[in-house]
Formats: sequence, C-alpha cells, structure tokens
Amino acid sequence: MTDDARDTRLDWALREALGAEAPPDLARVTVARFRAGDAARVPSAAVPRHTHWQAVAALLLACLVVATFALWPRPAEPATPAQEPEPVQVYSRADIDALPATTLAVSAVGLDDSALSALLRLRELRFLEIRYPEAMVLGLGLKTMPPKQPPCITATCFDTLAKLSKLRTLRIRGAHAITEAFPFGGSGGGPEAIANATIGHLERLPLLEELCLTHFDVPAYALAALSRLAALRRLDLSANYGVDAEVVVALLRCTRLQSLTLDACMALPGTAIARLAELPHLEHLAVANIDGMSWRSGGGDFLGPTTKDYEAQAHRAYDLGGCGVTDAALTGLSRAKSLRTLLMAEPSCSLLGVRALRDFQSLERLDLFGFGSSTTETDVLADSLPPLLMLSACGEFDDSFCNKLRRRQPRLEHLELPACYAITDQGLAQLLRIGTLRHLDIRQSRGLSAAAMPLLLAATQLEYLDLRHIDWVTKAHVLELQRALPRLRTLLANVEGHETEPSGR
Amino acid sequence: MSRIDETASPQARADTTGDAAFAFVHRHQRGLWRFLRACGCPAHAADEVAQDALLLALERNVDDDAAPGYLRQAAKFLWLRRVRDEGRSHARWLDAAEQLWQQDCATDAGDGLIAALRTCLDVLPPRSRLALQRVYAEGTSRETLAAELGIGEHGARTLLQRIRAALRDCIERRLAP
Repeated sequence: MTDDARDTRLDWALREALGAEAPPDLARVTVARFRAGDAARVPSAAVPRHTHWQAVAALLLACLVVATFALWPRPAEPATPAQEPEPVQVYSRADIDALPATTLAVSAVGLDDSALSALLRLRELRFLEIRYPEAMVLGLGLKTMPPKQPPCITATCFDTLAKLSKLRTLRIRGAHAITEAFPFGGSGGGPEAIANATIGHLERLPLLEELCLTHFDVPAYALAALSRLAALRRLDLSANYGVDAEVVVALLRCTRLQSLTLDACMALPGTAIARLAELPHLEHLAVANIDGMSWRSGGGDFLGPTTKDYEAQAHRAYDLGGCGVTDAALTGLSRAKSLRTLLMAEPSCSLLGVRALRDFQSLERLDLFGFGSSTTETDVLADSLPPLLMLSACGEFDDSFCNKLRRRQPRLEHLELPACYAITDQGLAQLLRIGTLRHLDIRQSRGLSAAAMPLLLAATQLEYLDLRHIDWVTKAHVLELQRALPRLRTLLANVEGHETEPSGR
Repeated sequence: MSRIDETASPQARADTTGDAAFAFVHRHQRGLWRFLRACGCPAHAADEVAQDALLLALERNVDDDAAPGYLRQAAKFLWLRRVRDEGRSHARWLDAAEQLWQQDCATDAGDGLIAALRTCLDVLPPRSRLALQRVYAEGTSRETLAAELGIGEHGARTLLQRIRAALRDCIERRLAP
C-alpha cells in the first residue's frame, strides 16, 4: 500500500518538476464561491480528530440507524436524489417582475434587452436559459410560422448578464441578433475590442461552469475570450456557423473543459475535431449531425445580414469537403486520454476511420447513429469497438452484429439499435444474453416476430424497453411483459398508455 | 485558471484586497492541491476538491495553525466521496498517502520534495532524463518512446521502472533527517 502511495506521489512530483503542471491559483474562485454562500452546498467533512469515546458513540449510533432502517417500512419508490431547482418559465418582463427576488432558476422564451434587464433584480439566480424557438429548428424539424419581427436580445446582453454574479449555468439559444455584433474579421476597434465588449464581460462571472451559445453564430475572435472564464467546465456551441478550425485553436486554451458540444457546426473540419484530443480533461464530446442536412431551417425572414453571411460561408466550407467526423477526426481523437463519451451521429468517416475506435483508451459511451450502410461496415464496426457501457447505432445491422456484440461487449448496459430491419429473433436472443443490459431500444425492428416474446419475457435484467412501431405488439404482450420483468420501469409501445415518452430522434 | 504567482506574497495580495479569505486561501492552497495530487487525485478533480475543502475551512473559521490538518481531512473525505465505489481499499491507500505526506511534505507544502527531485533529476544520464521528459512532460506513450530510443516496448517499461526506482532512492536519501 505504501509503495503504491510512493509511486503516485512520484508521478505527481515528476509532472510538476518537469513543468507539466503547477498548483493552480484557486483564490478568486474559492472566495467568490464563499461569498455566494456555496459552502452550504459542500458535503460536511468528518471532524479531523476523533477521540476514542466519540468513535464508540458513532459506532453505536450507526448500529441504531442501520437497525431502524432495516425495520422501517420501505417506500414504493426509492428516494430521488437532490436536484437543481426546477427553472421557472417566463415569457415577458411582466412575468419576470412577478418572480420572487430569491428565484434560483429561470427559463425564458423570446426576451428582448429590456426584459432581460429586469432579471437583475434576481440576485440569487444560478441558472438562466434564454431561448428563441423560431431560430432553433434544424434540418427537417417541425416547421412553425415565425412571428414577423420576433424580439431578441443583442450583444449588449453580456454586460447585463455579467451582473448576475451567482450564475453557474447560462444557456442562450437561437439569439440571432447577437451575431450582428460579430462581423467577419471584426471592425472598428478590432476583433479584440469586440470580444472584450461582448463575451469578455462573462469573465466577471466567477462561478460560471456551463455556457451554451447555440443556434446563432459567434466567430473565433470573440470565442477567444472564453479562456478567461476560470470556472468553465461545460461548453455547448451547437449549430453555430462561426465554429471553424480557428475556433478550435481558441477552445484549446480552455484547458479545464470537461464537456464540449459542437453538434451541427457545419463549417467544422475533421482535422480540427482531431485536435480536440489536446484538451487534457475532455470527457464528453458531441460532434453529431455535421452532415450537410441538419442546417438551421426556421422559416421567416427575421435574420440579419451578418447571420446570412455566416450561413453562406458555412455552406461554402461544407461544400469544399472534409467537414464533420472524418477519418482524420477519429484518428486524432483516439489520442484523447480521458474521453469517455463520443456522440458522433451521422459521421463522414470510412472503414479506416472506424477501425481507429479500437485505440480509444477510455471510451465508454458511443453514438454513431447513421453509420453502417452495409454489412461490411457493420462487421468492421463490431470488431473495432472498445468495451462500452452505451452504444447507439442505426443502419444495416444484422444477427451477425448482435452475435459479435454479445461476445465482445460483456459490460454493455445501454443499447439503442432502432430500425434495424435485418435483426431477427435470433439476433435478439444474442443481445438478451448480455447479462449487464438494462436499457434496450429496438423500436421499428421489422425483422422481429411474435415468436420473440418468450425471449423478452425471460430478459429479467431489463429496466427500459422500447418496442414502438413494431406491428405485432399488442396490449396483451405489454401486460405480459409488465408482469414478467421485475425491474422494468419504462416500457414504450404503440399501445394505449405506453407511448408517452417522445422519441429522442 | 491562472497559476500561482510566486513573486507576489500572499500577504501583499491580501492587504491589497483587504480580505482575510484571500490570504487564507493563498496560504494553504498550494500544499492542499499538491497533497491531493500526491494522493492520485487527477488535476481537474484536485481543483474542485481543494476549493470545496477551502470553502469548508472558511465557513468554519478554522485558524491557520489547525488549517493544514483540517484541510487534509476534509479533502480526503471529499475525494473519498467521489471514489466511494472503490471502497475501503482506497481509504487505506489514502491513509498511506497521508502518512507519507505528513512525514516528508507537511511542513513546507511539498517544496522540499520537489526541490530534492529536481536535484536528483539533474544528475540523471541524458537518456534517462529524455525518457522522463517525453513521458511526464509531453505525455508521450511508451510505444512512441520505445521507437524513439530504438528499444522494444518492454525495454522502455523496464527503463522507466529503473529510473523511477533510482529517483525514489535518491529523494529518500535527500529527505532523510
């Protein structure tokens, strides 16, 4: 035990002595958290020194608690863990004015700058989301009639938001009018001045851990200011056509990022995605739907000229080729040491790129929905997957793939294989032999028959089962499954009372 | 996140801000963060655990003399909560790590150990020094290192093991009273 401890200590000391790391300056963030009353959120530590009688008393108390717990009647459902406060929905300044000053979380739709300033009264605000649904439609998403001149906040919002000093989460989605402050290459006082006058203000939020700037465009010179956000761990820039190779260079300076989402960033080259492996603490990466189809597609003509310029530029970049999850992207990402989750639906890679998946050291969760248009591809994929906890895929997967999954993925817990018409009852039998499997989505599997019911009835490990869009499933089947599967919490089927959960795709 | 500015004394910065909390954090953060790293806590987790431990100490108004011990206990508790799935073996392992810290690093926040290591590194043969630089400073894999040194992967592993053993002996000799 002591030798292991000595080795670990030497590892740390070598990294510091050789210049790979140094103790950080935590004073500003810690004191800001202290002033914000954050100490109450930290679990209480044990008192440093226990006396003997205290230890005995603690032991007796623990025995009493265990006995009481064992004899206490159990509730029907396990207690839910402590959660962040549920955000209050607001749609106008009047809604905000009616909120108590102690409100902790707000989700707003369609605010303008004037309504936003009303939020400054909420000094305890931790969570804020501002959405403009008319600008958030992607690809073939649901089209709605947009208002003619929808309200929207402008880039002056950042100065206002920086006054909400306790914010931990800030999500701005579809705020297209902000983009008008970011001309190509900057102007007037130059790119740095623009960045300082906009996103740079967020530096005054010492507790900001999560930032989403999605469905509108922000270029690299403005995003360079993100490296000054000391507490930032999670960043989402989805559907942002300002995101290109230069943005990745700026993001590499945000060395504490643990989660990064760049879905539907159409101008993002695969070679730039590859460089994200240089982020030392990156655990979660989403680069899905960079596919030339999932463009922002809200109707109406409310977008400003700069937004239209970014969109045209992104189309040109995509048409040149090399954008999205290419072979180069996967080869590069295979060097990411702490990457656990990779969401890369609709990738642009070939078999060569997929083979790189076997080199991912820490990968546990993988979504490559849309890859696998031939049996050759699905075979190579099955042979290339590292041991996973979660897999989501949709393509020409068949019984042979299921058989390989059963043999090569002994710890798989969560599997989504919807609309795989070549999977038959034999393939399902292989999947259900994975003892760790808890979550199974096989909706619209047209190769299955009612003869698969005995297999499903014996799969007592399942907690979640999606059987929607399978024609032979009846209410009687659903009742049988509910009776036979003791752990089943969610069962989705196109039978009355079992189709409430919306599809994720 | 900025690194600690060693040239500005914590007291000077504290006087400037007029805030005792800043001074407290400045006095104790270096040793606490290094202790967590010496316990195997990854760097990004060490930032967060150290912050939480410092918050608890500030909240309870722990005085400076008691702070190092209190902070180590709080940090151990908070780190164990994060890795609780690994169970008791991790708790025992942490106790061993703390014992070593108490023995060699508690009085100077680890400065002496780092200084001893730097001296030991200075006398290493260039090839050994290069191997450490590649692996610990640049994150090179053993496979790449082996190719660079013209040896097999097994040879690279053995080389690193030997260097580490030599460094451990060297550090312990220098730290011995």
